[in-house]
Formats: sequence, C-alpha cells, structure tokens
Amino acid sequence: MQQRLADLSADDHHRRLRRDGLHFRAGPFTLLVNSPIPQIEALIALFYAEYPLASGNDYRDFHLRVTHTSTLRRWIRPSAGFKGDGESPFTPMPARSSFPLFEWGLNWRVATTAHQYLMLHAAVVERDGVTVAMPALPGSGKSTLAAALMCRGWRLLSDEFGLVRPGTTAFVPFPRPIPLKNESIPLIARFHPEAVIGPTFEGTRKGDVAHLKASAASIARADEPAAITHVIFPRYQMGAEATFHAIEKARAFMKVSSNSFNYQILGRDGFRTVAGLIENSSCQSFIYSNLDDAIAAFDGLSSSGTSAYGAAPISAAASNS
Amino acid sequence: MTEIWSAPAFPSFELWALGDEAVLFDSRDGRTHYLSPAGAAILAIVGHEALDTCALLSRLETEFAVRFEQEERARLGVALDQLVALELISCSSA
Repeated sequence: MQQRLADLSADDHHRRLRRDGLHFRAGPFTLLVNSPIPQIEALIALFYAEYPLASGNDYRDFHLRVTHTSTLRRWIRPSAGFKGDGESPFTPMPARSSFPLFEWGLNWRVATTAHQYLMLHAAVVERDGVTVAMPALPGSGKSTLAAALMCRGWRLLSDEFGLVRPGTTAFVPFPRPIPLKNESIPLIARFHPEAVIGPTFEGTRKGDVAHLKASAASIARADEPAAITHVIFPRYQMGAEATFHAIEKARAFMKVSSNSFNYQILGRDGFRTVAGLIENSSCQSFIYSNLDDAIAAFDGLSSSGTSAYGAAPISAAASNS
Repeated sequence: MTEIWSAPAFPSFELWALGDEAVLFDSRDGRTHYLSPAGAAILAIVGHEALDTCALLSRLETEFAVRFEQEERARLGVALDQLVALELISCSSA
C-alpha cells in the first residue's frame, strides 16, 4: 500500500525535512523539500498529510528549500529565503510567512519549467464527468468559487494550474491547498465550517492569505485525469444573480490562450491543444455573488457540455423559481 | 482604381474556424490572432481566387447573406486591413 506523509512519525517527518529531505508526490510532480522552519514542518504536515511519499528511487522534479536567511536573522526580525533547484527568485520574506513562500516557490518552479504541459492559469474542478476549467485573472473570484465547489463535493484538480498534455483534452490533477485571500477567508469559513483552513498570513504581497486544505477525495484521485466539458470564465460581482452567458468559441480561445503560463512557448502545439480544449467544451462566462446560488448553477451543468438551465443567457435563480 | 485582393499560399499560418469566427496561429512569431466573422469570411473566399473589392463584397453578400451597409463596410475595411497586415492577403491596385 502506498505510504503517505501522515504515515511518518512526527520525529521522522521532522528529521527528513532537516536532513535528507521530505520526498513526496503532489499531482504529477515529485518534490524534495528541506526546511528547518517549524512553520513549514507543521503546515506541510497539515496540508500534505494525505499525499503519497515518493520512493528513494523516484526522480525528483523539484528540490525546494525554505531556510532562515542567516543565523543572526533567525533571532532578530527573522526572515526566510526560498531556493528552488538552487535558484533564488524571491527576496527573503518575514519568517512568519514561510509557508506562503514555499507555496509561491513551488508555483514559480512549476510555471517556469513544466513545459511538458500546457499550463493554464485556471482552477479546474470535476463532478460526475463534468469537468470545468475556470481561467481567470487574479481578483475574479476564481479561487473562492473553486473552494466553495470543493467544499460541496466537486473534485479539485487545481486552483492555479490547469495542466494539459499537448495533444490531449484532459486535465492532469495537481490538487494543492487553495490560497484564500482577504474577504474570502471568513467567507469560506462561514460557508463550510468543517473546512480545514490554516493560519492567516497578514500583510503579504497578496494581502491576507490563508490556505484551505484540498479535500481528501481530490487528493485520493490525483492520478485520474479529467476530460474537459466546460470552459467557464467566472467573475464575482456584488449583488449579481448567478448567470451564465454563452461565449463565442473564438473569443473563448483568445481568453484561454492569454490566461496561460506557457502558451507562447509551446507554439503550434499550444495552439492545437487550446483548439482541442475549446472544441470539446461549452464556453460560458459566469457572474455570481452568492456561493449557494453559484453552486446550484454549477450542479446544473451536464457532461454533454450544455447547462440544464437552458439557452443562454442562463439564470440559475430564474430556473430555480 | 480597382483593388485586387488575393491570398498567397500561407504555410506559416494555421487557421481554425469556429462558427463564423476564426483564430489564426502565425508560426513566424508564435502569436495567435482573432479573426472576426468578416475577416474569416474574406479569407475563406480569397483563399481560392483573387477578387476585386466589388466582386469580393458581392461574394460576401451572396455567400453569407449579409447586406453591407455603411457600418458593415467599415468593419470589412478593418478586417481587410488586419489580413493585409498579417500578410495573409495582398492588395494590388489596377
């Protein structure tokens, strides 16, 4: 049976992080993590407990280190630095934000090297064969919506990286803790009181950030790709009724390709892959304000690529009445 | 003066038509371009034969059942300019 991080004793977890490295898999990637920082140790144990341990023979995709920047700084205004495979892309941050630094560092490493995938800046969720990619700019409410959907039983494939092997139309899961920001933190805590939400890191460069643990079901199915059925561009709008609007596919193509980390790098392969995704999906924009209404609307999507709510524009509230 | 529109062979491009619209991949610089319905329609026609402006408009009206009023003609002008800029079609004056 596959060993998980949670199967390690606290001593072993502690020792591996400080010495040879904690070697585990997150989605399609194998990580080797070193850190002497207690916050990293505690929050990796919390958020990555169900992730499978890698064997000693497994190739490591990324070697990530989060360490104190100097012995003196360990005691006076302590700060933490990140190294990914020997590179230090970020200026040190206060040690109290070590875990966000680790998560951003992993994102940076994936975004800059994993070109075996087309990487969309998108949340991806799946339920009963309905797979929705939600490409969106920061601030659109993408993470909040993905978090709410996961809390109501949708499988989280990704909050940040929609990974697709060129030439295919299925997303490769890469479930990770969802970084909730600012008002979304108490919103999700109220919406789903059972949610496992870590400490709030105040005043980061992205504002206040707290991480929501990926659901056990999402992690357990991290080896199961999901074929796309919908591309939905979400946008939170205060007071808005949950509503879908159909989008012309050519415009959806342009929006998807512009929300990619490496579309330009992949060239013709990227073009053909986005074409395949769009061709096999129903493309819609979605505005919402109330999470329950938004989830009711998503639950009405069908795997044939159309919505149970009828022709566009589609109003969830109207159909519920 | 008659403007003749023609499309040279375009191996550098990959065109994907989506309904009335299209997207175009330009392998020379790796960029992707959106083509409006007008642009996609023009390309579909002049991809096969060179036409002057009047003939092109006539064919668009016939094949796409569109009446080109002043506003639509302006939109066509924009689409033609885009296709010329991309070197997908060329225009010679006779």
